[in-house]
Amino acid sequence: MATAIEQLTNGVHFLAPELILVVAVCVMFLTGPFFVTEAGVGAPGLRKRWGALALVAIGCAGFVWWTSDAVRPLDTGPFRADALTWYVRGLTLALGALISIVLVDQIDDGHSAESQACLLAILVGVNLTALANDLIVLFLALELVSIPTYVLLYLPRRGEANQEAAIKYMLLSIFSSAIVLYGMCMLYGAAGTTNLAGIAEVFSAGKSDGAATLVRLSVALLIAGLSFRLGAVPFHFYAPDVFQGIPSAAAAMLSYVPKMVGFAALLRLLPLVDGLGVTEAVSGPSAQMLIAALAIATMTIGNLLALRQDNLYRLMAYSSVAHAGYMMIGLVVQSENSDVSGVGALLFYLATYALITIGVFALFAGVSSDKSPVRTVSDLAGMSRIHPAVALALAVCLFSLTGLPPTVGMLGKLNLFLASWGEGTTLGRSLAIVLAVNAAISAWYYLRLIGVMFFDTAPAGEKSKLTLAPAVAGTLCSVASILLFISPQQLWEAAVKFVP
Amino acid sequence: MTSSLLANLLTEPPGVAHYMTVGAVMFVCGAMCMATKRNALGVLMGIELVLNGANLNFIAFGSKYLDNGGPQLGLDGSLIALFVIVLAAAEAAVALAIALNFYNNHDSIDVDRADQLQG
Repeated sequence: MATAIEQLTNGVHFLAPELILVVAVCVMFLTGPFFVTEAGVGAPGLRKRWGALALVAIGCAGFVWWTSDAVRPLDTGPFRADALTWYVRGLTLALGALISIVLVDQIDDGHSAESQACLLAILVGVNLTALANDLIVLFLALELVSIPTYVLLYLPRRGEANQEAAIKYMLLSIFSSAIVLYGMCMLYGAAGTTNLAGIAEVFSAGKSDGAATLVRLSVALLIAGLSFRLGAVPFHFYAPDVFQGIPSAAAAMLSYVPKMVGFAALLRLLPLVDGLGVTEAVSGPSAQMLIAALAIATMTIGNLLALRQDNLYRLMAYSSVAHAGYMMIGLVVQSENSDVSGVGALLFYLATYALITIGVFALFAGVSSDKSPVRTVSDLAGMSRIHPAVALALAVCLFSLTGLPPTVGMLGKLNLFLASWGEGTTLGRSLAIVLAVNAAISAWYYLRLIGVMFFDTAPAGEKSKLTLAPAVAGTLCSVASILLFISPQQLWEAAVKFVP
Repeated sequence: MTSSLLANLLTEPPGVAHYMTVGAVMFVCGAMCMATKRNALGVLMGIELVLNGANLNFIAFGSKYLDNGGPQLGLDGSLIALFVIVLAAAEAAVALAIALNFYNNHDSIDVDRADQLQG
């Protein structure tokens, strides 16, 4: 039995990257108000300093992550570290740095400290979700993501559209958290402990056969509540409205972070009910069929609704819905039947999709200015002549979202297709076919944007100036998506290392 | 089926099932409240009901005074309830700030007035 001090030092060792970020968050929240006047106006250039501090904090956390050992033995403590934790941490820190760069120029100097602090708190929440080995920690981590998200959505601009987006997202997000909490209380009632390892032990020993109804209810509630975070149909309806109202840094965050926490939580919770005595009823066909049905509906409806959008942000929102559908296929595939691991394909796809979509929003932010905002498709007209480099980078990102070579988006879709086709069941094959058909549908609206950029003539009038930082970040993303196509080996190996 | 369930609930001494029923009723009331109220503060009250419906279940499952038909559970249930109460307070603080800001712009906290974003 370790003493309290030993437990504490062990815990610090477990959580070092997150603790660094939390310290930075505290510094920003506590000292931020002293640098602005009573009216909330900061000195010009203050936002760059806070952005630099956020990047330094992320860099330190990234260094600690890189030097930490990836896997620790699982015990009954509240945290655990395995391949999923390692993967999620690295991904979140890298993408968080990109989002932070985009965020710098989208907020006024007076609110930059709080906005950057909220972003860092969200990153901590994502990491803790992947670290959680206890229902309490898991729920608190999910909330550590959502509560700063509400603040981050409404801080940067105080316009009516922004407020509306924040209030819509907040009310629905709280409701979805409550559904998740209700599902967790059923799980606790059935298993008698909140520790995930403990729950798995109880279920695999078949001690909870009498509580089959409770577990069935809880699985349904957990999938429903977490589907909201994934943006899966029928919980997707908030997405286009919210994306339309918020600045591009927040949109970039919103298309990666909720998906990551949703899938991390599902990957922690769904395997628990596998070894249950009620396998046939719960995690066998019915839960699998439920997720498969959600995946098909999400892909198809997301893509069809994206076809008729003229607002770029609504279009990207529906595109993020559709991509959530592709990724859910990875949850359906039974890994033991397929040569390509379904969960590995999911994690790989999530990383590449997040990289590309953050790139797209960063490039939107780069060419957008207060005088000539880029919000609708026609705003992109003639981009290839005004900003050729940005247009080229954006075209690469859109190719990648479509799934065309030579970009990593193609590898992501190919992996998911092979995983689900290789499973050999009718369900797996039909999912693979639906995926292919949907990829073809999505090509229409992504390639239309490229057509507008390269073949339409620019409207006469003032040319928007390039904002350098987000444009460079976006270009980095598009270069990375080509490099990852050439050598995807390391990312793929990190993704398939996690076996639920 | 329903009538026998109700009869069991009415004839047996209070157990976990009774608390779960109350919790479920609270959850549904809260969900209805969130769906139908137009006043943002009313929606916030619905949120409290929904979260506390789940809380009640946690406490009932963990209680040593109630017969749950199995071995006694530890303090986990009560602990998670405490965490959720604090968390609901934090959430309410942010929600009220957003509602106040909304009021400053719209002169009302009627959430149906938030209808600019559509297409």
